[in-house]
Amino acid sequence: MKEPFAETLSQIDADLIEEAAAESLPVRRSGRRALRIAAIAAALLLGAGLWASALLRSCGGSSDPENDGSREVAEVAVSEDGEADIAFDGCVVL
Amino acid sequence: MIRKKISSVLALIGCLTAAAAIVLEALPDSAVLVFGTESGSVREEYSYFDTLPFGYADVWPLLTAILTCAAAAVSLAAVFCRVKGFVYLWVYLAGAAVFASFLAICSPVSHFTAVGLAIFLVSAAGFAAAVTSLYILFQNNSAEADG
Repeated sequence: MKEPFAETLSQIDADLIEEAAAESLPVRRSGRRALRIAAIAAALLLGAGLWASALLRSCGGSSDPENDGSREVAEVAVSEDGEADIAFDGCVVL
Repeated sequence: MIRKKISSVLALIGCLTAAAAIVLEALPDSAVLVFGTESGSVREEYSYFDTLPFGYADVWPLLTAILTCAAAAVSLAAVFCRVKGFVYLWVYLAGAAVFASFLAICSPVSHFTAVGLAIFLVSAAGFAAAVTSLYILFQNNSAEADG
């Protein structure tokens, strides 16, 4: 038994050949090639989305002007007797 | 032939709705995390493309973004390549994107935002276009088989 994704690929190939035969046209592109182009387009869109979101954030899109996306998790202070005093600004997601 | 053209127009509509969803997802206040600190709760806003909510177990915004990008690419392929395989794939991806966008505003770890609701509605419109396109292609095949 074929996997569902492989079946979809075979279906695309079969449909393209059938359509080309019905319209008496040569099959110029295989379904797999078109699917590969679609996968590259999806990756490019994802990259564009990541870039756009980073750009909008750097333009001050956050509602909190003091929040630049970073969060200090610990403050280290050294007391007079030389001992390190570490205060954690711990936070939990609700 | 007319049905195939309608199917292409629907694929174009699906592509445009996916593009609109991607723009909304790129906004910096689309996803929300609420942190509890000693001084109270802090609300921080992120983009759907941001990996930080994913790291805090709110996986749905990033999944929605990935699925929307894939649905946009496949619907674009379906505009130029009017075959059932692409429309099937488009229906699967658009359906998964709607599911993920619903959970991005309603799951226990997520928080409701107006932008999140808009993303869900736009994704649902894209899914409706995909299902209609598939239905029209089936009708077309039935008509060809009868004729």
